[in-house]
Amino acid sequence: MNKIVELQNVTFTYQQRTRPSVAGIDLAIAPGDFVLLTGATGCGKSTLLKMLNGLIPHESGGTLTGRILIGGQDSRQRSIAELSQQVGMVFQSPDDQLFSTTVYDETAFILENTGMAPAAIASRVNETLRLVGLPDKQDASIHALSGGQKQRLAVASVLAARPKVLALDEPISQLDPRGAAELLAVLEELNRQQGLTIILVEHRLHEVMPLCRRVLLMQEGRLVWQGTREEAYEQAPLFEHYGLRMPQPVDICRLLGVKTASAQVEDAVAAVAKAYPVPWQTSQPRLDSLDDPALLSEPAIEIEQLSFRYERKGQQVLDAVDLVIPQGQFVALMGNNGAGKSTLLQQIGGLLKPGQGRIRVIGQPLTGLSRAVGMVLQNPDLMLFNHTVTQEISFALRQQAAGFTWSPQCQQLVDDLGLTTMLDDFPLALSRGQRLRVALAAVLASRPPVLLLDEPTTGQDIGHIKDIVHLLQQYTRQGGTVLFCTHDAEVAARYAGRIIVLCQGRVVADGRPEAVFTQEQVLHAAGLKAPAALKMARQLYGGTALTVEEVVDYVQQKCLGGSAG
Amino acid sequence: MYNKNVWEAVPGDTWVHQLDVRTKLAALVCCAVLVVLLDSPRTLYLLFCTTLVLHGIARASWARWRVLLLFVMLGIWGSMISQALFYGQEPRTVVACLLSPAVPLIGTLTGGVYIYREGLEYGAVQALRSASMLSMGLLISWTSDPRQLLRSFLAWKMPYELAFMLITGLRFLPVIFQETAVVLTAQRLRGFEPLRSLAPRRLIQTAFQTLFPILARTLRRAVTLAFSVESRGFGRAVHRLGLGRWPQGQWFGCVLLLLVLLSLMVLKVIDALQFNGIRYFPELRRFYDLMKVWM
Repeated sequence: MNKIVELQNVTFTYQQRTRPSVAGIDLAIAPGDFVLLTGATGCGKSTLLKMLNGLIPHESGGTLTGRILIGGQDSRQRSIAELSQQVGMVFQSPDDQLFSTTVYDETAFILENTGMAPAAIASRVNETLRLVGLPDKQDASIHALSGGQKQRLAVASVLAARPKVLALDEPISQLDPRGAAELLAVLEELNRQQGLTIILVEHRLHEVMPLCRRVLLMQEGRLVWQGTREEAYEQAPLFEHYGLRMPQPVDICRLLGVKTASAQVEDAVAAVAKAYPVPWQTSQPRLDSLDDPALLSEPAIEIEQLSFRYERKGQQVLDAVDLVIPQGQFVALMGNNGAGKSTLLQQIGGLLKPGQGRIRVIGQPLTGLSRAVGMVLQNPDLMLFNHTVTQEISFALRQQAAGFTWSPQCQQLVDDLGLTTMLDDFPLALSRGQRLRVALAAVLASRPPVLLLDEPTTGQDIGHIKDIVHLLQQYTRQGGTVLFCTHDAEVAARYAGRIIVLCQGRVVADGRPEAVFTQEQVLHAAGLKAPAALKMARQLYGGTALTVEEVVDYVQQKCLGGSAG
Repeated sequence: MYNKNVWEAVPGDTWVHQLDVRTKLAALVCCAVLVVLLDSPRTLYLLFCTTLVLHGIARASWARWRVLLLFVMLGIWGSMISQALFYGQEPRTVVACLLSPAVPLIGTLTGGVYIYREGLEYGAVQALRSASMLSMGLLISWTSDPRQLLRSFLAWKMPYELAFMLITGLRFLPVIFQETAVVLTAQRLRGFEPLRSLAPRRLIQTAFQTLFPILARTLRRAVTLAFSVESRGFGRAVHRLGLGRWPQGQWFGCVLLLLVLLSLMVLKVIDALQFNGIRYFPELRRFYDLMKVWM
C-alpha cells in the first residue's frame, strides 16, 4: 500500500508524566483517505494528531519512541516548517488559532512564510478561498465571520500551502449545526475532488461518520480498533462501550438485526422495510401543543413581551418573547448561534436588564441577580476559581453561611457526578468533562429553584452527557426547573420535556419535542435538524418516535408481536 | 468595554490603516522620545491632541473613544491627585487644605494634607505624557495587523520569544477583558461580592480567584495560537519576514521625523546648558525664550 502517513510502534510520554499518552501505535494511512480518529475524551487522539506535523516532538518536549513517517520521511529529521507543507493542522477553537485581521492576510500567512512572490500569493489565496467557499470574503475582517466561516478560514489558512494531508482536531465541536454542516461539506469536497487526505479527530460520530472511509478507535493511548466505516457500523457496541454515539440509523438497524452499510436515513429505512413489514401508524399521537402550563404547576419563569438589544440602535436580539415555564419542567432552548438563546438565559439570570417587558421568577419580579436562579455558563472554566473541588462546590453555601464546610447533600452531588475521588484536586487541572461537572455541582449545591445551563453538552461525550442529564432529571423530579441551551437535537429530543426554538430573537416553535421536530420549515429556518430517529420513524411508519429505542420498540411490537427487548 | 471588537484590530481603509506598520512603530518610538524630551504642558497637550486627531482619521468607533477617554481620564485623575497631594519640590503653593495640622493626632502626625498648585501642574504634565503614549499605543494596536506587527518587531531584531509574547498579549487582551467580566459575573451568580470588604487580605483573595480561571484560559489559548502559527511554517527557527518594501514616501517621512527629533534633542541640550549656567549664547536669546514656552 502506498502510504502518506506511517507510524511504527510510536509511544509518546509528556514531560512530568509517568504514563505514555500514546502507546505502541502502528498505523498506515493511504493518500486520499478520509480517516476518523475517535475515542473518549483524554484518550490520546489529539496527541497523536500533533505528531503528524512535528509539533510532537519538536515543540512539546517529552519522550518519543518509534518512527513517524510523513511522505516517507522521518518527522524527526524535518522541521515543523517543512512538515507544514505536507500536513496542514486545524485546531478546535476557530477564535484561538486565527492571527490576522483580514481573511486574505490569514490565508496568505503560510505562503508568505515559504517566501512565495506576492503575485503568486494573491492567485493562490483566491483559489484557496474558492475551495472553502469564502471567495467573496477576501477583504472581510475575521471578526465579521460566523463560527463556521472562521473554521473554514482556518482550513484555508493551511490549505493554501497545498498540503497532502489535512489534520483536524475536533473542528466542529464549537460550531452550531449550520456551521458544522458547512465545514463538513467543504471537507468532503476537498477529499473527493482534490484527493486530499483527511484525518479528523472527533467524538461526535453521528455527524462525521457518514463522511469518512476509515475509522480508528483509541482508548488510553492505544489503538484498540481500526477498520472501514462499514465495519465500524457492525462494531457499534464497541463504540458505545467507549462512550461514543453512532448515527441513529445505524443503531436502529443494529438493534433490529438489519445489516446496513450506510448511515443515511433513506438507506436505513429501505433496509428495515425490506426485513420487516412495518405497518403504517394508524393512531397519530398528539402533536398540537403542551398542556396549559398553568394547569401543570406553579410557574417558575414568566416572561411577558421581553425585548432586548445590546446597543440602542443595534439589532433586536430578543423580540417580544412571551413564555411561561412551570416548575419541574426540563426545557431545551434551541436555535442557531445569534438566535438569542444566551441572551435570553442572561435575562432570566438577571445579568441583563430587559429593554422592554417583564420577567418573574417563582412569582417574584426579577430586578437583578436572584438566589432563585442558578446558572452554568457556556465555558465552565470561567466559573472555577477555588483551589480544590471541595471548596468550589461549597463556595456558594459558604457565602450564604459563614463557617459552612460540607454537607451530606454536597457529598451526594459529588457521588452522583463521579467526582468523589477528586475532591482535593485543583478544579482547573481536571479534564473538560470533569470541569463541567464540578461547575454544575457548584451551582446545584445551593439548590436554586431554577437552573439555567448554556450549552452544557458542548465538547462532552455521550457518557458525560448521560451523567449530567440523569442528575438534572433527578433535580426536576424534586421540583427544580431546568432551561438549557443546546445544539444537539438528539439530546434535546431524548431528554427534554419541552423544546423552545428561537430564531432572530423570536420564539418560532414551542412544544413537545415530537411536535417541534416535525415542523420542517421552522427547523430549516432556524438552522436545525430533526433527530435521525424521528426522520426514520416518519418515513418508515409515519410515526413521531424521537429515540432509537422508540423506533425499535414500535417495529418489534408491530412485526414481532410485542417481543421487544 | 467588554465587547471584544472594541479591543481587537480591525481592517479599514483610512489613511492610518493604510500606513505601513513600520511607519506606525517609528511614530510610536518618536512619540516615546518626545514625551520624555518635552516639559512644556502646551506642547505636550498639542502632541496628545495630534494622537487624538489620528484616532479621528482612523474613524475610531464610539466604543473605542469611550475606552480611550476612560483610560485617559483615569490616568489624568490618578496622576494629578497623587502629585497635588505629595508634591515635594520647592517652591510650592498651597491652594487648598484638606486636613489642618491643628487636627488632633492625624493632623499632628501628617503635618497637614494640602493640595499644591505646582503638584497639580506637574501631575498634568505627567498625565499628558502617559496619555499621549497610551493613545498612540491603542491607535497602533487598533489599526495594525498583528501578523505585520510581529514581522516588524522581528525585522528590527527583537528576539522571537519576546516579539511573539508581545503580540500574543495584544491578541488576547480583548479576550481577557471579556473573560474577566464573565468570571466576575460567575462569582456574583454564586453569591460572591468581590468588593463587599476592602480588607487587603480579602482583596488579594478576590484578585487571585478572578485571575486563576483567566490565566488558565489564556495559557491554553496562547498554546493553541503558538501551535497554529508554528504549524504554518512560522517559528523560532524559521521566520521569513515577508514585509514587502517600506513605501518610499513613508520611509522619508520617518527619516524626517527622526531628524526633527535629533534636532530637538540638540536644542534641548543647548537650552539645558544655558539653564544650568554652563554655556550661554547671547545670539540665541530669542531661541531660549521660545524653548521656555514650547519645550
